[in-house]
Amino acid sequence: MRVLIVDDSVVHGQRLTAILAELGHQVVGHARTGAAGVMLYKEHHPDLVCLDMVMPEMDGMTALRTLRSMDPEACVMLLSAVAGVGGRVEEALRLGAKDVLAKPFSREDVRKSIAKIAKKTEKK
Amino acid sequence: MTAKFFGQFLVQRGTVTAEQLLEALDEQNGLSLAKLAVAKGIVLAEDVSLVLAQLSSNGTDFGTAAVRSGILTAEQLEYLQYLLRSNARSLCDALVQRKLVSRDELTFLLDEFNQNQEQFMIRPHRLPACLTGRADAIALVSMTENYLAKYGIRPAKLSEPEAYSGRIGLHDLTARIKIDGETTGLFALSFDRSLAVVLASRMLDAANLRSDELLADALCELCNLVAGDAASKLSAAGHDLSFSAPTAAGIHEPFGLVLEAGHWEIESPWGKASLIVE
Repeated sequence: MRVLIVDDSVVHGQRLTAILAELGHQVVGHARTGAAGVMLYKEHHPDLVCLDMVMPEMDGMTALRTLRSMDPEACVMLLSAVAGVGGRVEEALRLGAKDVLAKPFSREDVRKSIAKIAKKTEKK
Repeated sequence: MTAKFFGQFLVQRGTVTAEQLLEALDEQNGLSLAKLAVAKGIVLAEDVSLVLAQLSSNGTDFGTAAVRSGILTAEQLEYLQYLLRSNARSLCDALVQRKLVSRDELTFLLDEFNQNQEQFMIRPHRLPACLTGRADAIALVSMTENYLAKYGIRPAKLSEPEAYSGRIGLHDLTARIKIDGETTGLFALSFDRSLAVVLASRMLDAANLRSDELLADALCELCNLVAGDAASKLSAAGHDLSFSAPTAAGIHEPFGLVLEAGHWEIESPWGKASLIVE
């Protein structure tokens, strides 16, 4: 898969890049704000966007809405340290996120989440 | 990663899909809330039927629709949601009725979930007088201890708390998060550079990380993870709090001052750190 990472954290961006490379995926870009992520999405049209929920300027939920309104087929995995806060996971899934990955994540967590997303996409 | 809610745990474990969980939650949040409102004598069954009949067409949940139509006040909705949250069995009932799990499986799954939860429980901590009653402070201190242990910063000994006023940036690198909601304040972690190097290396599974930007970012991310887990636990207990995105500063660009805060000193083999909650 060609993957775009949108996360204000350099640490998590680098860790996710390394994990995705190990799993055989290609990272096409790393944006550190939601707005920059939307711009990079238009440029690269990736197969998957790994989108952080809490970011300055444009947060993940707003970026998710923007991406899905721009491209209803956009395939998004939400990343979040606050996934357990009242209704966030449900809201993200309702907005069209394919999965929500809780931080901090392991290589196995990422592999399982991508496999789940691939299965969902295949069904369509 | 430890799931914070039973539903999330079931999805992570592969017992139910996210879609099946959403359907069960819809049932739990919609119909159960409606039934509870009638059982408590807060609304009439006829009014509930009218609101439920409109739900499928406008896509909102029962609680929101009931407040909009005036049959429930926002306070009554909050009370009913509190009652529902404190009754975890309603999600289990919805899952069993949908034949997604059996009662026997549920007993086993709840045991497994509770065992996982114990790893990241909030432990009681003493607070200085200026933070009396601040559940967020207890959660933040507890989660900081959890994450320090998770990243192998041990032994990491937290001092007894003391009332503190002064600079937030007590060590080389500092990150802070603003607290908003039922209370306002801030949560900050300030680390010796040597300790931040160990933290960043553990977070990235890489050795010898020394870039200041990366070290500050690792500290921000630690704040974010601590606040995220604290927010989840507090939300589950009915607290209304939110935490901002973290920001960082070095020793030469301190964040300023706190006036009435609690301060915990953290000692580790790699250096010292401070935890401040205002």
